[in-house]
Amino acid sequence: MVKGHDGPVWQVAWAHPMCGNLLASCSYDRKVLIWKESGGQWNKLYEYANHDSSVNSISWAPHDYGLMLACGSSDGAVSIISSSGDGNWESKKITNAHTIGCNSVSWASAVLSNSMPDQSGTGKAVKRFVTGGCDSLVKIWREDDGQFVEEQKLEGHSDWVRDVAWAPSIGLPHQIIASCSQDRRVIIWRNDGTAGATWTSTVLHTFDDVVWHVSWSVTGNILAVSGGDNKVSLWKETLEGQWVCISDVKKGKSAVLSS
Amino acid sequence: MEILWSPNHEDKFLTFSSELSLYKVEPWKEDTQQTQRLSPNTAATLLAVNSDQQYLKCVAWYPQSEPDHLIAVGQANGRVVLTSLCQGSKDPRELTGKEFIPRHARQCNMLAWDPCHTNLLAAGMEKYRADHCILVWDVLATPFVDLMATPERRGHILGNSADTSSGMVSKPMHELGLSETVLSLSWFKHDPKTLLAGMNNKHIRIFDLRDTGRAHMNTTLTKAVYGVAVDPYNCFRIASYVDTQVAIWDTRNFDKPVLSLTENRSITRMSWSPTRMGLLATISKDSSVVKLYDIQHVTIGDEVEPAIVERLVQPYGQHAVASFAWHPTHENRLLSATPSGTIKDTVVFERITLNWSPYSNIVWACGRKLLQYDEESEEHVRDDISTKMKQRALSGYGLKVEQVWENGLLCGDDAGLKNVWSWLDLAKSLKEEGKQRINSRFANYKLQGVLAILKGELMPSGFSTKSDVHIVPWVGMERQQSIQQQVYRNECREMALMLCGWGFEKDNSTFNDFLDRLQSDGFYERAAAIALFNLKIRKAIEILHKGSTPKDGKAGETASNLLGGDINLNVVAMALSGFTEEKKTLWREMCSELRTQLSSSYLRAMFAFLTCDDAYEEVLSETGIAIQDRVAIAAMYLSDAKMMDYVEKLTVQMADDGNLDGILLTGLTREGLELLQRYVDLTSDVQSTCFIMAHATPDVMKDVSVKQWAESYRDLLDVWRLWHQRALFDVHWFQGDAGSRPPQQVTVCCNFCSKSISTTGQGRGPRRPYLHYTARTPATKSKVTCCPGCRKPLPRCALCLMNMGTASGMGPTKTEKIRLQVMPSGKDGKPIAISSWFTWCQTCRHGGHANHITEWFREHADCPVTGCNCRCMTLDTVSKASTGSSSTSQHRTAGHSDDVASRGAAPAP
Repeated sequence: MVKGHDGPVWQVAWAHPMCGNLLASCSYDRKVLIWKESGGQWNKLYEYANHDSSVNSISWAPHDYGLMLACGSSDGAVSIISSSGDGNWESKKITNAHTIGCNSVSWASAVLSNSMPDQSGTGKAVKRFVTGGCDSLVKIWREDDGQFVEEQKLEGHSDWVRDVAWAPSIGLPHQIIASCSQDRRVIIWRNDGTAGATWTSTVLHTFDDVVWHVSWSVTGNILAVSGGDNKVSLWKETLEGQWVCISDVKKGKSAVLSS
Repeated sequence: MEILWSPNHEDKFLTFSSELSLYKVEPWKEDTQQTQRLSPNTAATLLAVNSDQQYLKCVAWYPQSEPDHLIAVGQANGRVVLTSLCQGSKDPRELTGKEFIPRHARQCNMLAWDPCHTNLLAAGMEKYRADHCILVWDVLATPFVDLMATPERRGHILGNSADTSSGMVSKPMHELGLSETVLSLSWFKHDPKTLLAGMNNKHIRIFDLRDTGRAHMNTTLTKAVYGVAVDPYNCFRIASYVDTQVAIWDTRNFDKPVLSLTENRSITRMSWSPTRMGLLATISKDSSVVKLYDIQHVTIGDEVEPAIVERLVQPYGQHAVASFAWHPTHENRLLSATPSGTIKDTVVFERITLNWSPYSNIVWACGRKLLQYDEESEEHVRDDISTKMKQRALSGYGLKVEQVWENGLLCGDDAGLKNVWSWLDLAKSLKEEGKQRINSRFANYKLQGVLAILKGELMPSGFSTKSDVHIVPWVGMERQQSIQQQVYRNECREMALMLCGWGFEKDNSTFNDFLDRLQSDGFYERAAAIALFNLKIRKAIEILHKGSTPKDGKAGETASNLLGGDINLNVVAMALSGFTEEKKTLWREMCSELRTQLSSSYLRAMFAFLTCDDAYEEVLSETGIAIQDRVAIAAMYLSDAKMMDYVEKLTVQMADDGNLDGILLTGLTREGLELLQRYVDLTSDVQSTCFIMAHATPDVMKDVSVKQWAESYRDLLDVWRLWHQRALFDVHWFQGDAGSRPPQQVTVCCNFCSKSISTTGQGRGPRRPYLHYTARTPATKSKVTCCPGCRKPLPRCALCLMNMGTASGMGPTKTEKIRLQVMPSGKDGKPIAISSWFTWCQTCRHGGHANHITEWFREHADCPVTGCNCRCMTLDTVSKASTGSSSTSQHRTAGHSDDVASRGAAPAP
C-alpha cells in the first residue's frame, strides 16, 4: 500500500513493462504521481502538481513514444507528461481542452497511427489521443511539431462524456473509439483511416442509466460497458456492422473476490 | 410515516406513524400474497401490527436480539414504553411492558439506545421549568426499588396511571439539561456513555455521563440543532441540520462547522451511511430526491479542503420521499417511503470501473468488492478471435513448415483456413517441383494464384493464352460410345488444374488415388462429381454405390442411419446410369425436374452437368462446391473469354468477401494481400494472415500492411507473454524475409582488447550476424581458447575450469545430436552445440559452458564460483516465476567484468 495522495484517487495506470514497474495515479488533490517499484518497495518517482483542480483520468501512451502520460483534469486542461530519459520530466499543457472539465483520456495505439494520414509526411507514427469532457464533446488530439493540437471535435453526446476508449487496432486500417456519457448512450466513432476521412458515429445503445465506463478487449473486438444500473454488458459488432449485446455479465456466474 | 431497519435482523424493518408495523423482506414471488413489493426482486410481508400505543412520538429499536423486536416508544406525555412486536419471544429480564415515567409530563422528542451499554436508553424531552430534558433510563433497573426510593413520586404515578402493574420506573439513571429542550440526540459509538444533543434551538452539546461533575463536556452555538448524528467511521465528525442548512462539525474544533451544505428546500431527515465512509444522505420537504454527499477531505498545501461529490437518488420518479433508512449492514441499501406509505428497497450503485485483461478476463470494482469474471468459461469469448489466436499460438499453429497442410489441423473447424493451408501445401510442393526441374512448367512459380496463371503471367512473353478445343469421349459408356464432350486445353489451363488439385489429366493412378482419398474421408458425393466432371461416369457410379453400402466398421450402426444417409446415393447412382444424351427423353425431363430437390450441391451439379443446356453456369453457381473444383471445371469446359470472365468475377467477389478460398485465385501476391486485408478487417485474425504471408516472396512481405499484421501479432504475443511463441514466430518470419532480419544485438568481446571474439565475424564483418559468436563445435575440435584479436586466453568455465571455447567435455548426447542437425548452422555449415555456448550471470559475471551451468543451477541457487555470494538463480525472473520465489528482482545490466565482458545493448525498444 502506498500513500501519497490527499484525496480520492480516481484512476491508476500501469506503464508498459519495458519501462520497469511503473504505476501512475491521479487524484482529487490535483496531483499526478508516478510510482516505481524497486526491491519490493514503491517509491514516488515523480509528482506533477500543475493542475488547478481534480485530475480525473490518466493514460500512458504506447511505449513506442517512451514514457508519456496524458492527464485530464476538472480544470479543463489536459497535460502530457513525458520522461526525457535522464530522470527529468517535461510537461505540455493544453489549456481549456474541455470547458468545465475533462473526464477521460485514451491513446491511440502506435501501430494504428502508422496507417493514419500523416500530415507531416515524415512517415513517423503520429501521436494521437482522445478525450471526453463535461462539454459533452469528444476531442481527438494530434501531435504536430511538438505540440498537441485539436484535430477533431466529435459532437454527439448531450451530457457529460464520462469515458472514452480508443480501440486497440490489430492490423486494421480503420480505427474505432467508444465513448459513453451521462446521456445514457454509448457512441462508437469510426474512421476508415484514409486521408481526410471523417468520423462517423453509431449509437451502440441507449441504456437505462448513466454509463460510467467503456473498455475494449485485447483485440478490440468486444466492448465492455458498465452503467449506473449496476450492470456490465459485453458488445460485439456483427459482420453487418450491427452492435449486439453478447452477454449481460451475471453476478451469479462470476467469481467474487473480496479485496 | 417513518421507517426503520432492525438492528438485529437484516430482513426486518418497521414503519410507524400512529401504529407500529413490522415487516419481513423476502424475495419477490409472483404467486404469493405478499403485502408490498419493494423492488424487482424483493417484497415485504407484514408480520405484526401494534396499535396499542397512543400519542406515539418517537421509537428506538432495542439493539439486543433478546427479546426479539423490542421497541422503545416515546409518547407525547413523555412516557417511554418498551413493547414487543413479537409475542412470546424469550424475555428473561422481563423488559417487555416496562414503562419509564418522567416527573413531569411533556412530549418526548427523541429516543436513543446507547450502542455500548445497551441497557441505557436516552430520552430527549421538551422543556419543563424545573425538570431536566434528557433522561437516561436504565432499562434493567427494578421498578420496586425506584418506587421506594422516591416516595414523593408515588402519588403522581398512581394518579396518572390506572394500571398499577409493577413495570413502571420513575427514577432515571441520569438527568441532564435542567429547564432546557432537546431536539435531537445521538450516542457516540466509540466513547461509552457519551451523548450528543441538539438543544434549545441554539446549542449542540456533548455530555459525558461518566463525569457527572461537569454540566457538559463540549458545546457550540448554532441553530443547526436538528438530526445530530455521529459519523460511524469518524468519531470526531458529526452532522446536524436546520432548515436548508447542513453543518458538518469536528468535535476537536467545535467552534464553527468545518463544512456547510445548502439545500433548496428544508431538510426533513439526514443520516450517515453505516456501510460507507463519509456518505451522508438527506431528504428535503416535498422533494423526490434522496441526496447523497460523499464527503472526503483533501489537504492541498497546508489547508484542508473538503471534497464533496453529490449524487441524487430518485426512488419514485417525481413522487416525494417522506422517510428513508440505511440498512445497517448491507452496503448502500436504502429503504425509503412516500407519505402515502409506499416503500421501496433500493441499492445505491457505486460507479463501476472495469477493465479487460489481455487474457480476456474482465475485472471490475463495485463497492467494496473486486469482481473478476472468468471469461474463458463463456461461450462467446471462447469464440472470440483473441482466444482462438492464443490457443492456436500455443498449439504451434503456423509453424509447421515441412507439412504445411498440418497447420490446417490446428485451426479447429475453420474450413476456410483448412482450405488455405492445404492449398498452400499443394502450391509449395509445385513450387518445389518447379525448382527441382521435376515440373518445368513451375520453374519460376512464386505462389501466384490461378488467375495469374490463366492470364499467362508465368509463361514466357509472347505466349498465347488461346486454348485448343479437344473433343474427349466419355469413359465407361457402353451403349452410347459416341457421346463426347468439348474440352479446352492449353498450358495455362493445365497448370491451373494442377493448382486446383486436379493435376491428373493424363495420369490415371493419381486420379484414382485422389478419389480414393476423398472416399476414405467420406466425401463420396465430391469424389463422384469429380469423376463425372472428368467424364468417367462408370467410376462415378461405382463411387456412389460404394458410398451407399455400409462399411464393415459401421456394421454396428442403426439401419435407419444407413438408409437415411447412404441409400440415397444408390438411387442417384441408378439415375446416373440412365444417362442419355438425347434431348427429348423422359430421363432428361425427370432429372432436371427432380434435380432441385437434391440436398447435396455436388449431386445437383452432377445432374446439371448431364442435363442442362447451359450446364456450366448451373454447375459453377453452386456455391456448395469447393472453389478448387469450380475453378477446375471452369478451366476445363469454359471457352477462353467465358473462363476469364468467370474467374475474374469470382476473384473480385472473394476479395470483397474476404473469403480465404479466394487465395487459390490470387495466390500470395499483392492481390492476395487485398483479400487477406479484407479477411483481417472482418475477423481480426492477424495470426493466420501473418503465417500465410510468411510463405510469400520477400517483396510481398515488405508490404506495409503485412508488416503491420506482423507487428500486431508480435504485440499480441508479448501481451500474452508467449515469449517462446514470439521467438519462434520471428525465426519463422525472417526465414521468409531474410533481408530485413534484425541486426545482431549482442556480441561477446574480449576482456583485454575489447574486440569481438567471434572468429567468423572478423574477416567477414557484420554481414552474417547470426550466431557467429560461436564456441567451437565438438565436431571441429579446433580449440580456439584465446581471443583472436590479442591472443589472450578466454575466461574459464567456472565448473570444468577449461578455457571457454573448448567443448564442454560432456559431449552431445544422442538426442542432442539429433537436435543439432535441425539447429541453424554456422558459417561453416556445422551445427553449433548450444551446450558449449558461453553463459554467465548478469550480476556477478561468473559463468561457463551452458550445459554445465544448467546442470549446476538445477540443484543450486548460488553462484558456482567459490567465495561468490551471488544468488544468481533467484535473480532470474523466469526461474523466479516458475519457482514462485519471493526474492527481490534486480536489474540485469551488461557491462565489463572480470570474467566475461559483454558489450552491446539490450534489444532496442
